[in-house]
Amino acid sequence: MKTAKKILIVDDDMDVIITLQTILKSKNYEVVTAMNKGEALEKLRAEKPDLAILDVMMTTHFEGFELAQEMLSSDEFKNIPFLIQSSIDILTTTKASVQEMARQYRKDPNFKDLRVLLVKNIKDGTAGIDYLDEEGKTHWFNVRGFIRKPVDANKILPEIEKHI
Amino acid sequence: MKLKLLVVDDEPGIVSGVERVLRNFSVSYPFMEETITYEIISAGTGEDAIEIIDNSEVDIALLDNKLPGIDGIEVLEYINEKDFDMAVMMITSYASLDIAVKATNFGAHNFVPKPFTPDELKAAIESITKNLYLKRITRKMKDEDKQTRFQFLSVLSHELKSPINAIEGYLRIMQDKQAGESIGDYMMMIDRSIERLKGMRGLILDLLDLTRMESGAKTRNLVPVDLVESARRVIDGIEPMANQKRVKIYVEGDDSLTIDADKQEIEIVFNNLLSNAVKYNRDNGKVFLKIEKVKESAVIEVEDTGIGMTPEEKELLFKDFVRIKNQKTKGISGSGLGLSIAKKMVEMYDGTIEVESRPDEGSKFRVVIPLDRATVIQPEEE
Repeated sequence: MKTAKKILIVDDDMDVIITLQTILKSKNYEVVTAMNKGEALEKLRAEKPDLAILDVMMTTHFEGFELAQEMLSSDEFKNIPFLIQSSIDILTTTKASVQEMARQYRKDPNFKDLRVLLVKNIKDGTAGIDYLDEEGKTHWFNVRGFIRKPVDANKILPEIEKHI
Repeated sequence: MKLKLLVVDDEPGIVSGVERVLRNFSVSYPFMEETITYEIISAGTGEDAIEIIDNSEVDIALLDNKLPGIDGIEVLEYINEKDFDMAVMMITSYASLDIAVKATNFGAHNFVPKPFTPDELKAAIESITKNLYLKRITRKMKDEDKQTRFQFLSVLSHELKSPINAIEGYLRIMQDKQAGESIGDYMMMIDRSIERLKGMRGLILDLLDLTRMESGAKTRNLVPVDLVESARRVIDGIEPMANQKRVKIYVEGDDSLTIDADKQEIEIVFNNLLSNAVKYNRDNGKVFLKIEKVKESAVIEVEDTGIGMTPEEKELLFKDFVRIKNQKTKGISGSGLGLSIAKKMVEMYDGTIEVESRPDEGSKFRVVIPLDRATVIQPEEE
């Protein structure tokens, strides 16, 4: 029998955790949870999940993004795919690189007040996040995909299956 | 602090006279730390005065009524209409009851007839400064109060909305049968919904405590309260919760120790401290309650063998709606108001509340209430 895939949910909202957990367990995924960045790093190390789902705003404003960047720059975790779960609108594109698109959006006066840009190319599936941190510094990193809140099994399950 | 004082008069002699009298003049009051001095500017006509008032922040105007162009009264009318944050004093040699009444109606602080002696001018300036200062302080306090109230209400509505949203989310998932066909598949969601409802009820009860406290003296009833007896009554109430976690509560106390207090308020303090000590304890943990008289104070100590806190978490502990969120607290519901209420109550009795804590070892809360206080601080009335 093949072993169940393990998913790490990182969210500070207990109700999001329980909802996701219930849905994922019904599809026979094994679920581990963490409520902040520190706990998430411990769980990544100890449980070696197949995928992580990261909330953005936890104890700090961009904690989920910081966690994602730490994962990407760590030899130990860089191969663990993660999805960003948030209620922020996603900007979509079909051409250019997503990072190039984010750069263009940043220059657009209509988007100048946005702290966070989630960009996804709906043709090839590439996606990334451009955000301004508390000090006004811009960050860019690539992500596997996004999950929109509120939690909906019909959207989450197909997105997860794409990556594991 | 320097106030900007505008003298509006077409007689240069008056302007230089005022300047001479007020140059080295300063005002101070026992209730304020600063000394106030004056920067004097002048205008020869009402039109010039209006321009200056429009463009620089004038604090006080000394206004002659008889001016070459528009009258002083008209300048006053303008100031009144535009609602500038300043005080006005009329000066004129043509004092008549008519102008005095008009000036007062337009908000002039007082009315000084010309000619005046330096002492008369100083006395008038002193009085108008005090009036302006108090007016500004009161407004600032009102604004700050409004601000805190607004913040409290916006957090409160968020705290009330959040369980409703969560339960609605659970129900929708059940409605669509997103996690399976059998009701058993949704047990965690059902348990959690009940937990959130309980939390919401707790929040509402805490709010009632808070309202009661803020509504003030009318409902407070000060009698000698036996602290050990009061604690035991509270412990009876939380026994079921303690039994569930198999947490044992030990009471050690001076049976005859009483303080003059409102019975219910003391119980609220005990209830918040003891129920936290149980809630945030480990299974099979212990709670030690010690009540004793130390010098002229009643000292209440509540120690637990629970999850404890880091120094950073401790900093936030007594603030409204703060709940410490981590893996250890995730299953525990609370309004985030309990300790902030306990602190406010203890402070009403001139007391203090402190906490020592170590992560994974436990926390110890220590309340000290002086026994010999002359009065109980009453909450301010609206």
